[in-house]
Formats: sequence, C-alpha cells, structure tokens
Amino acid sequence: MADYANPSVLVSSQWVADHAADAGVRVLESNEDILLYDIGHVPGAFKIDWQQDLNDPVTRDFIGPAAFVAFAQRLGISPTTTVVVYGDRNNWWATYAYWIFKLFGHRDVRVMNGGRAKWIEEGRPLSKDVPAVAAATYPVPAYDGRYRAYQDDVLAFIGASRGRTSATLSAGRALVDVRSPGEYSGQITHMPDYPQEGVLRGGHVPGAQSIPWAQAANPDQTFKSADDLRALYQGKGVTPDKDVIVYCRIGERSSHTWFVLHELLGYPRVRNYDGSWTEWGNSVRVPIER
Amino acid sequence: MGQLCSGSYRKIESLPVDRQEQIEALLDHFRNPRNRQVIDPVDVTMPGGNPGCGDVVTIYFRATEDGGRLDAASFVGNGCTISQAAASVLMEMVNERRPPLEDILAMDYEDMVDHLGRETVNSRPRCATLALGTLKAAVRRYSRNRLRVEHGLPPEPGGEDEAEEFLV
Repeated sequence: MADYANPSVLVSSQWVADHAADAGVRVLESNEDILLYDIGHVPGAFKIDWQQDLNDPVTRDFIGPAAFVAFAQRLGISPTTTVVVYGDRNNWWATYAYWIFKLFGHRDVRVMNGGRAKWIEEGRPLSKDVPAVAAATYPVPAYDGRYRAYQDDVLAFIGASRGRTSATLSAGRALVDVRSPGEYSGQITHMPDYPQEGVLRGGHVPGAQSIPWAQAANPDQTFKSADDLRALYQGKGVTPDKDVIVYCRIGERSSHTWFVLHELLGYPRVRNYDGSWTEWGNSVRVPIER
Repeated sequence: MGQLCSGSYRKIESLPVDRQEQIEALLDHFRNPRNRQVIDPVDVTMPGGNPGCGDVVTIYFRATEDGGRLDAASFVGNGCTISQAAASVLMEMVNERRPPLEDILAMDYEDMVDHLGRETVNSRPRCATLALGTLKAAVRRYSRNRLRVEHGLPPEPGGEDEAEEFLV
C-alpha cells in the first residue's frame, strides 16, 4: 500500500471495523446486486442504490448538484465527512459511487479494500440494521467535470469527426477499453432478441487498448499492488505522462479503472467516458475498429 | 393468461407481503436454484442479458411433440440475486404447469414483478424479468424454426455456441 501514489484512498477492513461508528465517517455500501445490503452489511453502513440514488431518472445523466445535496444530507454527509465506499464484485460499483463523489468535489472519499467479499471472508460480523442518521448540511457543490469525458471529447481525442471512418490517436494520449475481449473485438454485442440491452455495432473506439478492468484486482477482490498495476497499464503504453480516457459499456467498469489510474497510481489526467459503448456503438457515423 | 399463473406457486404458498419474507424467499431460490441445469434433448438454447457487465440467463427449452406446450425448461446463469432467483422461480412454475406456448408469450412482466414481491424487486424490474423475457424469446425462436422446417427451410443458426460465449 505504501507504493500507491495516494495510499490513503484505500482503507482496510480493520480500519472500517474500528471507525465505522465515528461521527465524522460514513460507510456506504454500493453493490451491483441490490439485495446484498439487506441480506447483511458492515455494521454502521448505509445503502446506496446506485441506479436510484445517483442517476437522473429522465435524462441519461447522473444527478445534478441539488440532488447530490439531498442525497448527501439524507445520509448525514457534510463536506468534511470521510466517506468510505465498498461493495461486491471487486468494489466495482463502489468505485462508480466514489467517482460520482469526486465529480461533486467531495474532499475525502475512500474505498474499503477487498469490499464485501473480504469482510465476509475474514468472518467479520454482518448486520441487518439500518443506522440512525444525524442530519447534516451540504452546501450546493460546484460540479467538477474534469474526470468526465463526453462523446465529442472522445471524437476530438482520437482526431476524428462524425462521418470519418478512421482516426489517429496522437502520441500523448491513451484510450483504454476495459471490457471483455469479446466485447472489444465486436464478437459480443447483445443477446439475440434482447436488442434493448445491446448495441447496434460491435468493436471498439479506434486506438483503444484492451485492458479488461478485473485484471486490476486480486482473487480476494483487493486491488493489486502498485508495482503490478503499473506493469499492467504501462505494459500497454498507458503511462502517467499521457492524457487518458477510459470506457466500458456504461462507464461502471471503467470507473474502477479510473480509480486505479487516477487515485491509486496518481496519473494526473484521467477521464471516464461514461457514455461508453452503449453510446458509441449506437451512434451514427462514428468510427469503429475491430 | 392474465395472471402469471392461475395455480398457486408451490414453494411460496401465498405471496409474501413482508419485504423481509420476500427477500428470504428469493435468497432461497438463489442458494437452492430449481431447474438450474441443461436439459436434454433441447429444442432451443436462448441466451439473455448483458454479457460482460450484467446478469446473464440462458434458457433451455423443449416443446411437446405437437409443438403446442412447453415440455421442459431449465436455466443456467450468473448475476444478481434477483435475476437468478427469478429464473429459478419461473423455471419451477413453468415446469410444474407446462403451459401452452401462447400462454408463455402472454405472461405479463408486471405480474412477474408482483409474484416475486414488488416491494423487493421494483428497483430492478429488468433483473426480475430477464428470465421471463428470455423464455419468451426461446418460445418465439422455437415457433419460427418450426415454421421454417415445415416449409423446407433450415432452422435459424445460433443457440449453444452463443450461450457458451456469453457465460464467461
């Protein structure tokens, strides 16, 4: 842990056990499997339903500043609160929540390394109690979009424009596709007869390197060591001197990679393209590579 | 088929109204899935869901000789508690009742949500209805292929190979 650029963004399960009930700490469970919190959670943790709490219900977007204030205050979070997120699946949806907190400039957010899996594997207690909350005040934050990329940003990033079939990624830039190899190659687009869930075209954004997101995690769902992570990404030319954009299908797997690159390894310029393949693969006249 | 099934669902005698009971029932199906297997022979193998970053359910479907009813169905899959439990619930139900194919196509997604426990699954309706949608897709493919074969055309390609790819 000492080798990470920002080692304090990861906390251990023991730290959470010791501090979950502290006044200035809020532990939040954010899962892909929405029933897991109810089945049992870290004592003192609150539930985030990522879809309902952090997404705009009408427009494909995340919540805005006013809704973020309501969300934070409901959970008793103020700007000085230490927010600790954890969840299932290598902390994948936890890092998505983490990234959202950073879009709103929350100062102190951390991830419980190993997530639910490690807590349970260590035989630590689970609770079904929903903690009581002391009200908090959160001034409306400025929205800080510097960690977020949109489709137009990606088109410009790869030196393309709508209607051009090719693109060139310049030397100081890196584009990381964190999906499975089958999605990257275009073999997997959607399940037949389930077109609503899929995309019309398969492949990847021209110039993207394939580095599946879960390669950043150990089997026990902790993050790999700084040395292993550096080798993983730098081995594919994704180096700290570059401007980096990461993406997946809807931006959730790539938020895990964003956390690894920007938070753990300290890469200074990393953006998550949350439109990701559900947008790119359904867009008219954008270049695609297979 | 205005209701999901007019007979009672055996393992849940009546719809649990308490959210905690609903969760316990779903958890039971998740941990002890019914009909989680590959049936043989099989007429259609239909994958459904979001490979890579979501729930996946593959339905194995076999019709009766005359093509009028479901003879047997089973599933395999990976994913969240709701999606996998819902598949188990559905498989148990249809294997018990062996409904006519048109009844399967008429099954209402909202009824499925109610049957699983709306209070528990309403935040994830797509997870709750993934298996049902995939079963309907299997029935439609079966019906299309049966027509094609009757008219001397080969059946539609796809099925087992797709399923293997998606079950990563």
